Amino acid sequence: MELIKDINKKVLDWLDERYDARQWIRENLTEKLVHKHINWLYCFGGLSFLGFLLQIGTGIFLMMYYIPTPKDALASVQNIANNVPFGWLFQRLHSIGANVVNLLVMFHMLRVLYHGAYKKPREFQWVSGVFLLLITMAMSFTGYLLPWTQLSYWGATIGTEMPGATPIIGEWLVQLIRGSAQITGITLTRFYAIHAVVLPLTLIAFLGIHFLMIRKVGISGPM
Amino acid sequence: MAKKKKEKHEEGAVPFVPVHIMKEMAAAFIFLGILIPLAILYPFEELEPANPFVTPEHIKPEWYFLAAYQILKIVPSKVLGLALQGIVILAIILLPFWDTNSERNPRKRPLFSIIAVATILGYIILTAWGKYS
Repeated sequence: MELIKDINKKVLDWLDERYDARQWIRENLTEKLVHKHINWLYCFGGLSFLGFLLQIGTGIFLMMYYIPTPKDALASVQNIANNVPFGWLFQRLHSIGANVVNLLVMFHMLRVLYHGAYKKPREFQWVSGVFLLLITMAMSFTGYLLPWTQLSYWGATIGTEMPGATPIIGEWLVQLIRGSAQITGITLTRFYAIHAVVLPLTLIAFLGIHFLMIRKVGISGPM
Repeated sequence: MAKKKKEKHEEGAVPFVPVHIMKEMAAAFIFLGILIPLAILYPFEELEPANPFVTPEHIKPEWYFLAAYQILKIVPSKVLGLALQGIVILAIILLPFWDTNSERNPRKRPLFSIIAVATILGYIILTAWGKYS
């Protein structure tokens, strides 16, 4: 025990000399105050973030075995679920987790709505939050196609038809999303890139803004 | 810096670490305690491979898209349905800019509370409708 304390102190001293570590810890963690009334309802934001981290973690694992071609996609997912050690767990966590993250973000949103926490000075907290929900949904939509099953294929067909009703640019929009007239291998690689790179990076950018702003303004006080 | 922050809070404010973070961590373990059993209880099912030549009879989106899907189904014009979706999303994004009353208690802002509850109920009803129609 003494040894651990000693090492702890040495590490902190070392960090202190260079980065004022103790002061940073005080300001941002141990002396960073939040309102007393903050209860369990306020945990949904943190849980959404945890859910997102879990999706990133399991998603990277799945990427190591997943093959984004119409011929191999489903077989590679089946391989993950049936043969890869603990693959079933990662696949299930990622697939069920997607539903759970959507739910958690919605709960978080309802909590903010109930407490009127989006009001001045937290307007952009809300705006960035709605974008985070929309990005989460887009992630779910693009991810749903990847196993290339009958459900995912036709789900994506119907989903990508929707913007086709837009006046003037509708057809062009559908073509842009699909990359071809129908859902094909081009759509699959396109959705894969968007699902695994474009949307996560966008989400991280919005999360960064969301977190920095709440640090600055603080969690809303009692009603 | 820390001192300045303190002044903004009422009596009895609590430090983020360890008071609030313990709550968050407990919630995190409850979350994992629910998610992991779910992953075990709902095992991977053998799935039907995609067949571009056979359209399945009943194809429905995931639950979080059902409401949007149902709007498109019940509004006769597709353009109108799409516009309606766009308007709802825009109204939600811009919420802090049209609900500018500084009163936060839902009981003391009945009009807004009615709109909010109606919207949430509408989402739930459309979702159920989409699911069971």
